[in-house]
Amino acid sequence: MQGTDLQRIFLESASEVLETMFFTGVAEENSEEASGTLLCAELSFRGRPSGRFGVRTPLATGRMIAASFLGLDESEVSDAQAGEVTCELTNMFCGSVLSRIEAGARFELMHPEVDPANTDWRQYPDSIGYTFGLEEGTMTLWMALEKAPALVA
Amino acid sequence: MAFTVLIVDDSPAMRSFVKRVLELSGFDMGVCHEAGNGQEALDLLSKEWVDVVLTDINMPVMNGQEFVQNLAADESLHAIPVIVVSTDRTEDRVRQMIALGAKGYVKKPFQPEELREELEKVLGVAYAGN
Repeated sequence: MQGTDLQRIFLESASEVLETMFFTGVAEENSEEASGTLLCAELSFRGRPSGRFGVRTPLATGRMIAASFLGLDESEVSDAQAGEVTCELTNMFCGSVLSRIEAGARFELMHPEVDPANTDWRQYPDSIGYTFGLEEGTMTLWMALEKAPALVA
Repeated sequence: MAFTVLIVDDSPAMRSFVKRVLELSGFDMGVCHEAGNGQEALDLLSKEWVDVVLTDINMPVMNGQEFVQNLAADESLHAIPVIVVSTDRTEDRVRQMIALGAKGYVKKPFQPEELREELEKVLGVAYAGN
């Protein structure tokens, strides 16, 4: 699968998940990845292929999305709740992306976790990311696929 | 008749979302219990009766698959209908969970009305909540 195909899948999945359960949508395609204080979550998944999947968004955007998901005012959302919702978002994005990459294939998604170190996804080999704009802020989805171990004769 | 519901999910945010969706959808919900995994849910069900269970699959301690198996094997609990709510969207997984005893399956992300319709189907009620 080519990188542009995967980026299209990221966009389709993001639109589906955000509009259905987070009451927001993709406002702008192909945005610049955010810098500053970020909220990052990631998980690993097993299957064919296996790999890692993550979400990076400015903290303010994460709080806005959490408020929408939980039916709270942004001022009522704790950092812990923003992290929990970003983890849930990561889980749903990953499930949606994988079902589009390999329809019918069985994957096992590990528990998503907030990454306080804001690890740069580009450090993973064979990784690809895609950033889009929301009504407020941006969001980056990334995925790194593990290569199948080479067979030794 | 107000239905007693048990939501089983390791994410407090997801439990809160599901509960809010049920309230907003007009579903006739009475008491809503919550559990963070299958074992917590079984512990709660040993003390409380519920009309329907909504459960995730991927959870620590006891996952949704083991939970559904345990419920199905328990004579006092096997009549409680279970609806799986999961990010696992493969038909293989849906078939597996139904074969283990789940009565319904809702794939995340879901529209609020999808969850309500699945509850309506599983509980066999004509909806009067509108």
